[in-house]
Amino acid sequence: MECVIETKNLVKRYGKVKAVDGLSMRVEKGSIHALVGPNGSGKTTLIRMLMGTAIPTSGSFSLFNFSGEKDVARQRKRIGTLIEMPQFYNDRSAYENLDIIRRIRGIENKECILDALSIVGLLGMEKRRVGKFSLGMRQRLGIAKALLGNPELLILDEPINGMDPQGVSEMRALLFSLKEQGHTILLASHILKELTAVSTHYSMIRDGRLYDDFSAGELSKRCGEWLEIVTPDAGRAEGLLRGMGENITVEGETVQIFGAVDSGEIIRKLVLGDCVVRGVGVKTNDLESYFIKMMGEKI
Amino acid sequence: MKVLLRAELYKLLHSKWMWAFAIFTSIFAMFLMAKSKSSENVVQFWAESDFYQMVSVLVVLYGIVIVHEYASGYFKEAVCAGHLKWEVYLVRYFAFFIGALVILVSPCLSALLFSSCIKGNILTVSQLRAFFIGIAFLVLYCVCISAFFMMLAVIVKTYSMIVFSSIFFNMLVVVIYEIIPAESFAGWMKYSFAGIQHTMFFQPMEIEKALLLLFSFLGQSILYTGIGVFYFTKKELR
Repeated sequence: MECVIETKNLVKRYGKVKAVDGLSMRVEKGSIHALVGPNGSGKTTLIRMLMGTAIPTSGSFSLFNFSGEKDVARQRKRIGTLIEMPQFYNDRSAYENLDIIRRIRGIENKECILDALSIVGLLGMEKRRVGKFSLGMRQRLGIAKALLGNPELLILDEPINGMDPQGVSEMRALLFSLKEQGHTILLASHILKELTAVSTHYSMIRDGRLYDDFSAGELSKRCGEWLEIVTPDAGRAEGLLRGMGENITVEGETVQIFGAVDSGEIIRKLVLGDCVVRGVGVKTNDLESYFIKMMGEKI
Repeated sequence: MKVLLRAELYKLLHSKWMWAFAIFTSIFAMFLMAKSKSSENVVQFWAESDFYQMVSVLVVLYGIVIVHEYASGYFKEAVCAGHLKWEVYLVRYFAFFIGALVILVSPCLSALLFSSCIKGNILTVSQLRAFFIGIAFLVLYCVCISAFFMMLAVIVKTYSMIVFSSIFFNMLVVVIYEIIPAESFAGWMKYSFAGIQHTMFFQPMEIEKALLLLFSFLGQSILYTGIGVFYFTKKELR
């Protein structure tokens, strides 16, 4: 698989503090790669190094398989970014702000401004001064800025910050459509439910180090899967199922069977043992639970 | 670099502040011309006016614009768009210089027009030559002072610091003028802006003096720009 971002032992030190500590990771073309980590884990610092606004202390990285300061810098024009809170000229209109960015990026097509504003739902507000925009509107404008010129790679740091539920839902739809169009997206967010809905790959970062790196397909394996049976005869059910799966726990009327099991065989055993079964379901941990388990904290 | 330069010039042409400054200084210059003695032509007027102070104040104000560029994320955006940091610095410096030039040259030209057309003081060929040599050195002076304030703005980065540094810089100049005896000052005073004004407008320019001024301004500009580029490329953009 072609790789658009590759970091090798990337280190960023601020005085004695290592914001990024020997980070090596790859972002593959066409993927939606989620960066997951608590506050101060080094996600934004990593993105800032990739975009040239922070200078790595040691290590290296490549963009679109180009390495070396000058080549990497030139590749950045293929990337649309939203880093932290987007900054604008508050005394200029949304259109003027995007027009300046368009010119800086050397995009000839002027129509891309209205296209981008339309995608983020700001069409009709292009003449309004950015100083009068709410936090959510500024965030939308920041995404429009990143989308200008249809870049191959999008790097979005907390893109749904300050957005209302409708904005979040539109953002999710936008990410899906961008994925369909073959864009690669590196996404850092605190809202893990949103990440699970769209991501194809995950990189978990803590204290500047890569804790875990896996695909969406591997998420269910890592999060763990178990069979949950609701029965008023929980004690008897436990006895009947002993030896099946890796572990069985009972909590009130709920029996949980962990490990690889044949659900059909389990139900057959319970029915033959005259157990009343009120419900059967396969349960999995979500990304948030897995994250808490791995990192030992909530984000 | 060409792309960035075009973007900067677009931004500059659409800068309300720059045009407001230019219009204000032009009107002010015409107002002063209107109040001056009727026989005084624009060359005499500029030679005797305290134009240096106006240059300093305006360039300081323009320094604030550079700091504003930090706040608006312009530098960050340019680097993220794939431009090398030294290119971003040089292009911004160039735009800063052009802006300062528009602000400073427009009152000179409007005063010339006012003096010639309204007051009827038509310049002789030698006066006109002196006037344009004066403008040429004003351009040089702009190159130098823009380099200094650009360097200062990227180092201090905050509005309060740029204002404080500029006031300090201007006060330092005033103190130097005050505490050093005029006789000892006279030797190198002729290389200052006020010195140039008098030389340009009242005396024929000696070639070696002109060259010395040229190298002095260009040397300073290169030094300030070198320090600025070095600092800018080593520092992170937040």
